[in-house]
Amino acid sequence: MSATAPVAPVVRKNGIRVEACLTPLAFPLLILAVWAALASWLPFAVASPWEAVHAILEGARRGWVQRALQETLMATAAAFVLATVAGVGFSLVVGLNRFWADVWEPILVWIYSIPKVVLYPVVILTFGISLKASIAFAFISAVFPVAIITFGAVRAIPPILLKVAASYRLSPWKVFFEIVLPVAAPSIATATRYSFCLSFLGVIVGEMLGTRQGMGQELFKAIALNDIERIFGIALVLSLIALVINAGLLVVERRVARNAKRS
Amino acid sequence: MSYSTRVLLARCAVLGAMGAALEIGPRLLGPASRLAILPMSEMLVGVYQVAASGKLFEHLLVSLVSIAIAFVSSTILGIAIGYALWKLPRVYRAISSYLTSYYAIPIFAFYPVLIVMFGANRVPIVLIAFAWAIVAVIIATVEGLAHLRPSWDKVADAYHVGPFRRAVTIHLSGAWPQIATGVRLAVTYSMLGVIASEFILSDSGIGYLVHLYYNSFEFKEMWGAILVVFALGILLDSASRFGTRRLTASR
Repeated sequence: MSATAPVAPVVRKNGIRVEACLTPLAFPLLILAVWAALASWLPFAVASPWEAVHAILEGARRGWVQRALQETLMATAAAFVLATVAGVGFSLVVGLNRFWADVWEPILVWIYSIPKVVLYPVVILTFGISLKASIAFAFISAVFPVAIITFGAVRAIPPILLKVAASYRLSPWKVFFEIVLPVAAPSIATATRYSFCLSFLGVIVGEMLGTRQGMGQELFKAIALNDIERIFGIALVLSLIALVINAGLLVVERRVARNAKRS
Repeated sequence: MSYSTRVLLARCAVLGAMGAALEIGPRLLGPASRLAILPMSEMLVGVYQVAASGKLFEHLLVSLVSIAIAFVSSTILGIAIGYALWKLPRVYRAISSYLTSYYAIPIFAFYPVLIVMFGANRVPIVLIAFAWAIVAVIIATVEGLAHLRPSWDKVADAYHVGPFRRAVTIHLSGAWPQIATGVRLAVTYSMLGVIASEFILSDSGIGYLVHLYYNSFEFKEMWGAILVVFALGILLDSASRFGTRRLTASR
């Protein structure tokens, strides 16, 4: 799913710079307006944007926001690294062999289509209610999509390149670093971004289901207390964090894709 | 032996090894591991027990209806919105980068928000699944429409084809290969959305059933319900693959 679906060409005129600056702001402003309108229409069910921000600032003053965020981000970072390394590594090793790639591909897709959230009890029973459980749960939600994306990239390497490498008797390491990695790099960058998004989502869902700390747990506590401002505030903070990190990874992803096209 | 037979045999061997590991592993680990994982054969007994208890089909039906509502509504609305965005390139430009980043948003953080708004019933569950599925359909539709051949529209002009017929028989039909990808994702996302929401917080559905058995320490039944969820996932995914492929072929 790329963002670069072609649209009608922009007509260059004097107003273009203003439009280019205002257009990206239009959608968030619309969301904010709808949110504010809903809040004034249904004050018992919807907290206004300012109330949500206030609840988070108040939480930051008391300190629970920092503590919970630290827990959530630490678990996300660990799961992200593990899932990316394991998923990409598995696909690079298995995907390069045509026979084993054919054997494994449908198995990976089957495992991917399974809703792994129901494995949460097993994770908890294995690791106990701990940071490890959050990491393990996020890992199993992220690793399979990462593996599948990388798998597709490795399988799409033109066989002629590998044949040329074989006729030059390149060592496996050389083949890997000079052919496989450069060709698969754009997809690995995409897989890395997915890995972050899914790890973050996995950690939050895991925390909602039961841990001692973390933003997901704060969210669950807020439901129990029926603290609407806090629920909206946490959802807002988590979305903003995810969007910012995703945007950073998207920049990397596009740069890698551009470099790959050039070489 | 042909190549495809060898692949099939090796695949069966891999799956067989996984099954054997699930059967033998827990037995080797001893009774302490029984809390977390059961031998495969006992899980299958669990499936039978859950089915025999009469709870299974009732909860499965509730989940399936929710998945179906989320899937059908997200597909129809997603295609319609995608088509509208294609017709309104200025609007599309304003939101395209947000559409790309949409799946970064941790959607389940909004499940409590929806519970507060609509109450703890089936509405937030279907809405989460719908919200998760629809954007995949929108993105796929716009992308498919962007790759249409201009000559098709010219033929339609020559035959004076009306706007509605043109949209269905030329534009959407031409963009179908990409839209099909979005529709398949919509099946998966609807299912994941419904089952995960049920599992997090609800009082019905197959996801809730797993949570219920877990909370009451009935691990054999819990594993039975988990296996049913796994089978449901693989079945729905295969069905959507088969269905979209048939539609693509019949075009």
